[in-house]
Amino acid sequence: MIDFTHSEEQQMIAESLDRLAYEKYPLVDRFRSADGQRSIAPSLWQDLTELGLAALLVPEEFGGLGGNMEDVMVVMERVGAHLLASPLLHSGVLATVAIASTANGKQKSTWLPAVAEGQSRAAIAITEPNDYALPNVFKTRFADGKITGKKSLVHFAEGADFLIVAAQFGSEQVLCRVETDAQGLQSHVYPTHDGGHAADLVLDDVPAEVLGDGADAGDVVRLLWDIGAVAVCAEALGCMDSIYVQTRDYLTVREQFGAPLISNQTLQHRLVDMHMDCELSRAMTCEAVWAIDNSDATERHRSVCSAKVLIGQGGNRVGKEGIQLHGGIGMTRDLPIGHYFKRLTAINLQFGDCDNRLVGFQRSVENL
Amino acid sequence: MDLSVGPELDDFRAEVRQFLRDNLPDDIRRKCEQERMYLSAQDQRRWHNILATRGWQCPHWPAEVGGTGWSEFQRYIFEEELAYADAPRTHASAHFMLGPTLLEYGTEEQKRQFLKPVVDQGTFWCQGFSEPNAGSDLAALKCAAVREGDEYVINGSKLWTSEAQYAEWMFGIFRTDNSGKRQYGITFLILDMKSPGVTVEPVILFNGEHEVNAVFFDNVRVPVSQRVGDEHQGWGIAKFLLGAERLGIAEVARTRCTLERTTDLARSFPSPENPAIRRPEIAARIAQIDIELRSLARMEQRVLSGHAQRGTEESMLKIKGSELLQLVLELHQQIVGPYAQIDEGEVDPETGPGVGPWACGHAGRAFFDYRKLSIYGGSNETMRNIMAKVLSMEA
Repeated sequence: MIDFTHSEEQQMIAESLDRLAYEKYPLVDRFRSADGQRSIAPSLWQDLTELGLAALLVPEEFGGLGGNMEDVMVVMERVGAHLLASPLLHSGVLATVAIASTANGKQKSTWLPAVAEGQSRAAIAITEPNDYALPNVFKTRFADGKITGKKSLVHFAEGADFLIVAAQFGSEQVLCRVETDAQGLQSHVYPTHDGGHAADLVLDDVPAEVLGDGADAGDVVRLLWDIGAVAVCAEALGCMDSIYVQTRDYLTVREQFGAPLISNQTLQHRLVDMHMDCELSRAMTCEAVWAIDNSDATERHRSVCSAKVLIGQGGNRVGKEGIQLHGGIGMTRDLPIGHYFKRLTAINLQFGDCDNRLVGFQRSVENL
Repeated sequence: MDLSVGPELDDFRAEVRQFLRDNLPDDIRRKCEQERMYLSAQDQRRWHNILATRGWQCPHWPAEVGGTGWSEFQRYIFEEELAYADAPRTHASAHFMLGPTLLEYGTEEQKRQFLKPVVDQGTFWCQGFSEPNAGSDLAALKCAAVREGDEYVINGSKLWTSEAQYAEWMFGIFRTDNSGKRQYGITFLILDMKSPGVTVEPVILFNGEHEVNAVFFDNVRVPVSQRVGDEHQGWGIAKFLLGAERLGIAEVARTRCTLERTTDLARSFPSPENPAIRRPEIAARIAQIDIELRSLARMEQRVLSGHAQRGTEESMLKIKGSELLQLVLELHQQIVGPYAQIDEGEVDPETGPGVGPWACGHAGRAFFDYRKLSIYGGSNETMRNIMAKVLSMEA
């Protein structure tokens, strides 16, 4: 039977994240300082690992919770609602999936328990300079236990203990573990508009350990790309719903011309459109979440592209309308609206932007 | 109909262009090129002094108050050339708001006292209109000015005051009477920002920029001689001020430059071998914006020659101009793609990063910053209300 309800356990995870955010990282206070979003980083990661979230996708036999994509959806949505910028997606989801799906038994049993406990944090380096999206062939090369090449926009690379790097190995693609203090690794860190940070990496003959036996991991790389896309779609739902609710509430209390703004029919219609964007985005994200765990690669790709396009466009509209309908106050730092918009904008640009995913969908339909 | 420009204006254009080529400092040009709308007080004053060497520091004012005395189309060309050169506009609140208002409603003494220092020293002004509860509904303003002998005593606050952090003077509208219609009992006053009781507090925007402020008044005393027009009759003056300057509202030339820069970027980014402009969706979007910009440019010319529906002109230019520039910046972001996530504001351009394509520059910042275009100066919703009112009265 079709059922969109999340399980009780999932709702409990969501509630525990809500509690953490309300008690320790309330949005109303966070942005009153110049660097509000970045200032929460040090303690937030620790708090998230204490909730067990770094272990979410780690198989139970390696000390994890053995979760699935729906669990990720539930968590990421709350992450979006509270704007909790953290390495959770990169270490707890993507690097974990990379290891769990390609590493050999020894690697898993050595690495995964430390990742699950949050003792060891990973960043994931896939995209390369000048790429809009996932390239078919990586310029970064692996040979003889060493990696050479460049990676860009590696989110939360700073502070990570190790990297999972995607590289070309002859005609095949491999995923490798690289220590962040390895010889020959240079990193240039920069802040991103959404309050996080990323790095450009230059790897020059850097020692690397291939995950698994070196068989082609191209399918896993594409899976990671899609999982990342769906995870940020779920995060976007949290941002969009929050913008919608805050905008509706503001129009209800804000009076101009002797009446609440919401009494203007033209503004009501715009709120209605925002709400429909939220609903359609949620529906599409549910399909993409389901597809990650249940569909074949082609159908999965189609669902993920659909979600990414829809959420990219819907998030953009909802963010812009949220600011516009607030008026000047929506432009200010102390209100969360602008910060949701910045995050939604970043989400739109990650794991394939609207244009890229639209073309991706088009191609997969043409190949029918 | 004749849409040719005429040789005398061609010469004028060449003269302006040459001056800008020779005199615009490169650091100021770069800031404009990167869509920085507000320059520091220092930069604005430098620019004022440079224009003053040619007597062009008040390009839009008549000659008798120290301006150039140019015709509307000369001024239009001057603004275009500023845009094409990536040169800043002149200080808006003094030049486009205070000036026309005093010329229409000010006494001879007021014109001498307030316009001459703008010409001679580039005095900075700010506009005290909006308040916390008077935004789109400006007539709801409450900031009170109470008459005591030869002075008004002001108590209350103003919000969204651009450049108040360094403005030397403010013009604004204040509540002097509550008994009648809300549009009655509003008085237009000029005040010294150094007056005792004036406090300026920054309002930081979500992109981290400080442009606007809250201004608080605690028993601020203003001489009656600094009232413009009659007591209680300031609403009409405020409306005149908001509609006085059609020129440049639509920022057609600036948007055209931004589009050209963006198109150039699309020809080389992310790499010359595989430029974004080869993506059909990018090429189509550039074409679409270009077409809309052409129509806006001609509409602006029609407005300036008095051919648009009276009462709708500023609103149309404001709505379409702001929407189009926002579209160009969104296109810029699309071209830069994931690299628009990078917050260049905090990276040292000399040392900063290694391998990412650094052409992305200001894509994110400008995209976020320019959301304000459709909000300030009368939100686009307010502009549409005005147009609806005018057009339905015509019906």
